Amino acid sequence: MPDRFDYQSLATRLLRGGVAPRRVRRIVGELQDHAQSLHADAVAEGMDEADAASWAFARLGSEQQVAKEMLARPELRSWSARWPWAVYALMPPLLMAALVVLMVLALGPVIDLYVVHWEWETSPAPLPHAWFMSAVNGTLATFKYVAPLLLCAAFCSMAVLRLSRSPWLIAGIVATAVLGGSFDIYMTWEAELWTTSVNLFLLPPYPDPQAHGLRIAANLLLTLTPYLYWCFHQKRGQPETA
Amino acid sequence: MSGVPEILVLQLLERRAMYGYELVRAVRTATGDNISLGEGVIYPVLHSLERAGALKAESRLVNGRRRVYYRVMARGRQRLLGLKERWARIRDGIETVLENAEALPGQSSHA
Repeated sequence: MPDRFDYQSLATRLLRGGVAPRRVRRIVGELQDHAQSLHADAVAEGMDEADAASWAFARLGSEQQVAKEMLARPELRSWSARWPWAVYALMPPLLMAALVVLMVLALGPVIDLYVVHWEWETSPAPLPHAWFMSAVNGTLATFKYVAPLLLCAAFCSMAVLRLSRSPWLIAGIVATAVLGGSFDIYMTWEAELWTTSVNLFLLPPYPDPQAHGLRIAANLLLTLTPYLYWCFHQKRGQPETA
Repeated sequence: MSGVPEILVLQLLERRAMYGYELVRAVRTATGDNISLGEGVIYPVLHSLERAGALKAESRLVNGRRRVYYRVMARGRQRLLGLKERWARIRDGIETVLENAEALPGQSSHA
């Protein structure tokens, strides 16, 4: 069956208009099914294949018409299209801060398990096992490097899937990259006390400028640069009258 | 006219769940071919009603094809009642105008 309804063009229009990718996939699937049903009925009524296809697509209307009807309904636009400042600029740094808090909170049950399992309540308490301190601090160090990268990459991917070129996202990624590269998190055992330290150095000078600078640069280079490259290509490829 | 596709969709789906193509045909049959909704533009109406909580969409596999069936929810029934009342007021208003055309201002006897 020849395909004369440009589903890809419809999907692009809807995504650029702010409709969520999942909804776009669904409506495209529904329209394809609708066109097949129209075509099958027309053939069953005696129309030849080519005429049935033309008739089916004529009944379906144009992708411009469907896109116009869809975009005229603001409730069908996603949150990121309606409140891009909140989703793209505020949410990434807030989530970064929330992840740090969750990580610290998660250490509580881990320490409890350790204490109970190794019958460690005796007084005076012995030094914790080296492997335990290494495992916890290794996890925290991995988190420190990986979490900001994953978070920034997730938001950039979300914007790319939505064909969204948003200056709000650039602001959000810069804020998250700086925030994600500016904190330090580790656990110590001193004077029979577990201490989880989270140090945040929002502005230079950093205690270790090289390490913090490298983390911030890596966050920006690995997430924002590909996104900006994609934006540039989108702008070049987009027709003026889109 | 604003609200016509919604009232037809909600009324027909209140009887049973249907998918888009089935619904377009049902509208044509139920209105005696007097009203034909745009085949492609029925979907924005359905998605909008679903987003408002008036309809619920369910994906079903029928003869190897995945289809989205829509059914009316409690909020949809409420909305249908409101739309019906509004429609009755519009109809009464128009009928009043048509029946009393002679007595309307500006329609007086200078013929």
